[in-house]
Amino acid sequence: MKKYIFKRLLSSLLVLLGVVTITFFISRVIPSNPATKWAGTRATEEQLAAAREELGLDDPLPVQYINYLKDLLHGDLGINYSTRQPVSLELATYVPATVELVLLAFVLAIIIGIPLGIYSAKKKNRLLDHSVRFFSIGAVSLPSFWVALFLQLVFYKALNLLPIGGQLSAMATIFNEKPHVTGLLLLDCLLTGEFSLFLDALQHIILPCITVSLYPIGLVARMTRSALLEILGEDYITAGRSYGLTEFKMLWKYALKNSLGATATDVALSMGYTLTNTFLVESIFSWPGIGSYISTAVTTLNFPAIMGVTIFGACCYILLNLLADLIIALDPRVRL
Amino acid sequence: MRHFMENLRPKWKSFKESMYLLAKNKLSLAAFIIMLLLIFAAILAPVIAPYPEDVNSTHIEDMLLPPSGEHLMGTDELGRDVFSRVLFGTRVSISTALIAVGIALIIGVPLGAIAGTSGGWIDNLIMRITDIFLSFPSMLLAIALVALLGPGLRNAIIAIVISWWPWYTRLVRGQAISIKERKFVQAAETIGTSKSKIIFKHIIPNCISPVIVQASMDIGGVIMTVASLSFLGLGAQNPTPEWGLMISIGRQYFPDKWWYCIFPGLAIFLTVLCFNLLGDAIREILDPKTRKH
Amino acid sequence: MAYFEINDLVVKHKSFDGIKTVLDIDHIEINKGETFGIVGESGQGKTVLALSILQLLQTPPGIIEKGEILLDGENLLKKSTHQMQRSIRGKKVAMIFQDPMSCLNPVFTVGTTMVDVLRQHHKGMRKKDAQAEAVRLLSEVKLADAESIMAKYPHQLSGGQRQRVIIALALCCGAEFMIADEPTRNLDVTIQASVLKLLKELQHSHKITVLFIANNMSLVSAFCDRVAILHDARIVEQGDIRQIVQNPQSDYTKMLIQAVKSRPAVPLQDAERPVLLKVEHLKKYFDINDEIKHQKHLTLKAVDDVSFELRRGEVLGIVGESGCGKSTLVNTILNLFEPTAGKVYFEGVDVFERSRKEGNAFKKNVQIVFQDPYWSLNPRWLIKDIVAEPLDVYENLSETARVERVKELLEMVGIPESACYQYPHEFSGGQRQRIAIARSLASNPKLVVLDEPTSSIDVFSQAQILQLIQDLRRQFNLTNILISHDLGVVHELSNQIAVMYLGHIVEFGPAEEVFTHPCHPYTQALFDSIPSLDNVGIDSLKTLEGQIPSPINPPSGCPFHTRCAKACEACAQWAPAPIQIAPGHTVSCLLFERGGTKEVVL
Repeated sequence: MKKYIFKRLLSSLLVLLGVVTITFFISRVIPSNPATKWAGTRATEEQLAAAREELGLDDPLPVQYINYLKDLLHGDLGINYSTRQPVSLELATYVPATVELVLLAFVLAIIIGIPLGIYSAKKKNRLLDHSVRFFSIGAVSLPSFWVALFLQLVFYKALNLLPIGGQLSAMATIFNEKPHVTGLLLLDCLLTGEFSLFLDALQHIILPCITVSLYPIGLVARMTRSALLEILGEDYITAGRSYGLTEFKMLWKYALKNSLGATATDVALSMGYTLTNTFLVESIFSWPGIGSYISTAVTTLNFPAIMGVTIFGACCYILLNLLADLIIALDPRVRL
Repeated sequence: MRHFMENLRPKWKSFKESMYLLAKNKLSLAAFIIMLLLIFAAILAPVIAPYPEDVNSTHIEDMLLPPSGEHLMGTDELGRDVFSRVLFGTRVSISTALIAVGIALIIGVPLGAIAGTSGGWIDNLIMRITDIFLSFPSMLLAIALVALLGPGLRNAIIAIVISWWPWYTRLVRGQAISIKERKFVQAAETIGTSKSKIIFKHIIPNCISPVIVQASMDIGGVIMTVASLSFLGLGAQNPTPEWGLMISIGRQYFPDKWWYCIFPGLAIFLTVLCFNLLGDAIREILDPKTRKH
Repeated sequence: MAYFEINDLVVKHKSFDGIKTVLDIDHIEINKGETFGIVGESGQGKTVLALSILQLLQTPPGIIEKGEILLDGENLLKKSTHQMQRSIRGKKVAMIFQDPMSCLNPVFTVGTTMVDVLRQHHKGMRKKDAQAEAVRLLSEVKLADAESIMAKYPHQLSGGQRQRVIIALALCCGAEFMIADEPTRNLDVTIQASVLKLLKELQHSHKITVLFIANNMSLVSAFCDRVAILHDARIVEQGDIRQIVQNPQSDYTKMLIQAVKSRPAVPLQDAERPVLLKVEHLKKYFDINDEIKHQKHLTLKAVDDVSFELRRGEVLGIVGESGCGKSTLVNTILNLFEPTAGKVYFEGVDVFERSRKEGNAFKKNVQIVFQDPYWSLNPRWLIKDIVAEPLDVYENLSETARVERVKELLEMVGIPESACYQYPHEFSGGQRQRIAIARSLASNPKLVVLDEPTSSIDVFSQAQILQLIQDLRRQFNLTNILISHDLGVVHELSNQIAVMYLGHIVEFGPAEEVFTHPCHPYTQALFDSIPSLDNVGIDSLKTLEGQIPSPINPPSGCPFHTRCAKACEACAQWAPAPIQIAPGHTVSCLLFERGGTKEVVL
């Protein structure tokens, strides 16, 4: 088991190295001239030369690569062309809001998606099952940016129930100081006892959270259903019944544990997708996360920022896959 | 010619059988009909659109009119008919998706089959490369690539292909590994059939079923990704009638002129839903449990 | 009134092709303490019957249309699922399934499953007591080291151990009626014999009534008192086992009995035949890593030092239990595996040293027919392309000539030429096997390997396929290697026999002689553990105790000494060399090496 974890960690590291290598080539080799970007389009020859010097573009490629890796090891993702701030610092201020959104969406996906999948499997081919299946396919087919706009139309414009965007209302930020403990706003508000602020933040997160969680809810429900159905058709379920074990026990103890692996992988995979989905949604809800950050970076073609986010996203993805594999490894068949 | 016809007949027979199975499930049938309608709409867009010239021309005097009998989905900021543009959008989205998925299949499927069949270092090499590409969230990789290559539909396709092919490689490899153990492959080896023929004639045709299911759903996914990229300003550029782009522009007039955003979004939803349902339907048709042979 | 009765039971199955009757039983009755056998081939509704009794049949697609199943006068079909679960399943009726691997939940240990079942039925039983009870039950089914078995997962057990665990689970709650659904189907014959004996003992000590489901007559004849024959969803015949074996009434029963009777092959007349295939000291080792025990670079000796000669026109039957290396041996000879050491000569030419082109010539001359015709034909190819596959490699024919040749080949195996433009799934198992045989003949081979050619087709087709193989062999002067676990088939086709155990050939000789005078203790044990119709009753079965050792760590000296009743100290130290005891008959056993003769051993 330890050996498996070690091997899995090692392969994750290798993949990470590959990812970093690719981003290096994309950012250093393909774009025509990073120096012009750095110095600005109207820069003089000398300014350009200085820029090349500063960015280390005169070094041979392998040296550049080694330096790039060294920088990364120190957590240095380069300097944002427009703000002249280190990308890693900027990311640190934007990441928590995104993490908060994604985590909440995933809590929803798990507490709604898994039970939906289970009941759908239990009532196979009944009305409930059909509705769940239709809902889950529908949920994964909705363009998130459009859902965001639609929700704004209904809940802000028509009903005026919820705010149109932002993480807190303007009034709340004027009268309260934003608490900072973990960086996750909702959690921080609770920890510091700022309940009015908590309610305000909660109101703001509802719409973005619904938008972001639709996809993983649909996916998790669908995958849980199919994994369970497959397992409920296995011989050992029939055998268990023949020993007189109750249906309740068959479903919740015997079948669910076996489907855990499949569900864990799906949750992890859909989390990666959700992360990118968040980017689109954030800019619509003016949510101060990395989505808003990358949207700005994209419009100004700010490569270090884009690459920083890409590496960050890939890291999350690799980590999630690692977690999913470790959960699967709980299954004794894999331990072989 | 005679042989050609005789070769075709059994294929037609099994196609008819598939159609029969498809028609049995109401939802699948609906999805299939909607897909046919969409393709029909895409091909015949210039004929059925009420204002086919509105793809490019502008009528400032009809700017941002709400839906009416004259303009079913209202008009946009340049007075163009949204319904006509949504219809033309079908063309853009479906053709883009077909091309992107097609190229990804051409790259991914043979690589997966080779990896699965060969094993050893070839397998290792191919799979480590796919692992690396798989660990980029695909949208993010696409965003990065398009940002580099410059915005535009063609570059969006390139970006999508790059982030999509490894999924097929992984899928096909898994299939190929199990098919390789089937006795007909061993039989082919004892007969002396060449390695490439074994891969292309024995392995690939037998692992294509899940690939078709996946590809069908991916067409939906690619349509969504293209729309998302366009929404970010990285995909199609004005005046291309692309749904994501329309929403992105319409957003400026949102929520007052809601029709400009809502209808293209509805089009995306319906199209993606249709391909997802179709993928589900094909899965059931190809499932040996459904098709008892 | 009988203890168990089935009256007028009709079960249907709804599928893509419409509704089909899968079971239509007028009347069966079983008395208390009796062993009642139901025999039928797969797909005849045996398992449906077993599942219907416990209300475990999936409905839909299954439909129980009418009828009653009475146990002690109570109609089981009238009970609710809840009542079944509370008072019947496990408590009164227990079931033993045919595939022990898929019937144990892979993510729980044996102990967890057993404790769960025990505590389900004994409300308030403490966990500790349940564990103690589980250990007792596991010892009762003769599992050595029951304590450690408790902590193991199903995949860590051998097939025989798993089946014993399944039996222990069935005993858990004191059921008096047991349904055994082909309990030994996937087990080796020597293990099968010991599991059957165990079941019989438990039946007597616990006073259990058994409904025994099997797919062949000989198994039932060894185990049951009375028997019913199931064919096409109906009982075609039932009665006392001795009467049915000696005096079968229906044609189907006759065919079933015929299928398990051995008909010796006609010995070859002319002794002077050229050697076609010569195998010298062939070894095939696999390098594997055992990650449970953290041992690296272990060697699995699948084939260990095998030598033999095969003359043109002969049929060599290779017998042995699963894992003895018979398939690996053949695959290595066929050049599908890289040999570890040794040489194979085909018509005097070293097969492994040939150039690429000559290698193809060897492949052209050697073909194989696989066990399962469902998987040996590419389901996406037309029959004409399947049969023509060797032609495409070795002959460059025009499409018309190609189709003509395919039609000829199909005619030879008795398949209509209209089959050319059809897919494999449109044919029955027997027909597919004929198509596979046609393909194997397309390149005009000299040697055809038959890997269990009849074991996955119904008895109707079996006899015909065997006849076809014999006809074709005479017609084309073919040489065959036949792998089979079915000694009847081997007896009928082969004139040479090789008995394999743990990668070694322990006995080799002319078929008639080996069958009438088996010399190696393993050969004797193997033949004795196979139920036969000639001797009815469980006592006719001799069991071979102990597990087959792993080929990763084979025993020192003679590989068989760990299970051999006649083993002595020397057997653990010296590996016996093949000794010739009669012309062409060799045995690898120290008993003969010490100057012993046949008489001493027998």
